Amino acid sequence: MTGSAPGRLTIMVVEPDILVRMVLAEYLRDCGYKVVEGGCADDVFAVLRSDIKVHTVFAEVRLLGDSDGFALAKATREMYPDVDVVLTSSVANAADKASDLCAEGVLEKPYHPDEVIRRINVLRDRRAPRPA
Amino acid sequence: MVGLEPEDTAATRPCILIVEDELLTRIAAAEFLRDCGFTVIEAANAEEARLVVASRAYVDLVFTDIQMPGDMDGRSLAGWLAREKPRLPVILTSARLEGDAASRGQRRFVRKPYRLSDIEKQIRELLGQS
Repeated sequence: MTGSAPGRLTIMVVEPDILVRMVLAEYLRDCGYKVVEGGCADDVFAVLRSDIKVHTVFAEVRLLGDSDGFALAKATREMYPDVDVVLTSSVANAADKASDLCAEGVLEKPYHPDEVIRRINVLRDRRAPRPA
Repeated sequence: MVGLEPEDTAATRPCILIVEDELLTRIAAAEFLRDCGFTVIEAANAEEARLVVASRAYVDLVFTDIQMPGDMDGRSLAGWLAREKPRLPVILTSARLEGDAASRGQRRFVRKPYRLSDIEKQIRELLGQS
């Protein structure tokens, strides 16, 4: 597996549909990641302000509350530049709007959880120190 | 995966459904119970809890706050569970004294602030693990 060892990474899964969220969160835990869960952008910032160290936010575009996933990604990038954001959506044209926010665009639903892990690792690998 | 069926691997661990609207409280309790060896599903309100219980998820015990936003509080959720899943143990918690939520049968009441080790103890008692 490329990227950081799962046990050292904390993923925040932000998904308003609990039946989707609980399955993905448990899959990631079974893969060795530490996972925290939320349903809206406010949840993300409450966690980021706490002593919980989050490495990657995996968020649905359509969230509960005032902010959508795009606004969440933009604000996270500005305030917490060391936190990666991966967006997902079942909305077909979401990828266009996200092109400047996500390196590989929005992950379309339905996705295989392994693709979530691949996206997480791609972003973490980019942060890994490169040999001189 | 979450215990979608009793025969799933994760279903060998008892599954606790935590219902708590205060995010950091919920995360702390969930992490503690996972470290104790339980599978934990996190719900932010009673409606989410109902969706989980009505789904194929296999839940062994519900641990719910009483004061929650939305149409249904924890006490109403416990009433719904008593009708839909009468044998499902429920632990209710609140910062207030809740006289009519007193412990009886498969229902327990724990006043906030609680020690997580006490919650673990109550869970194990209700699941017959003590």
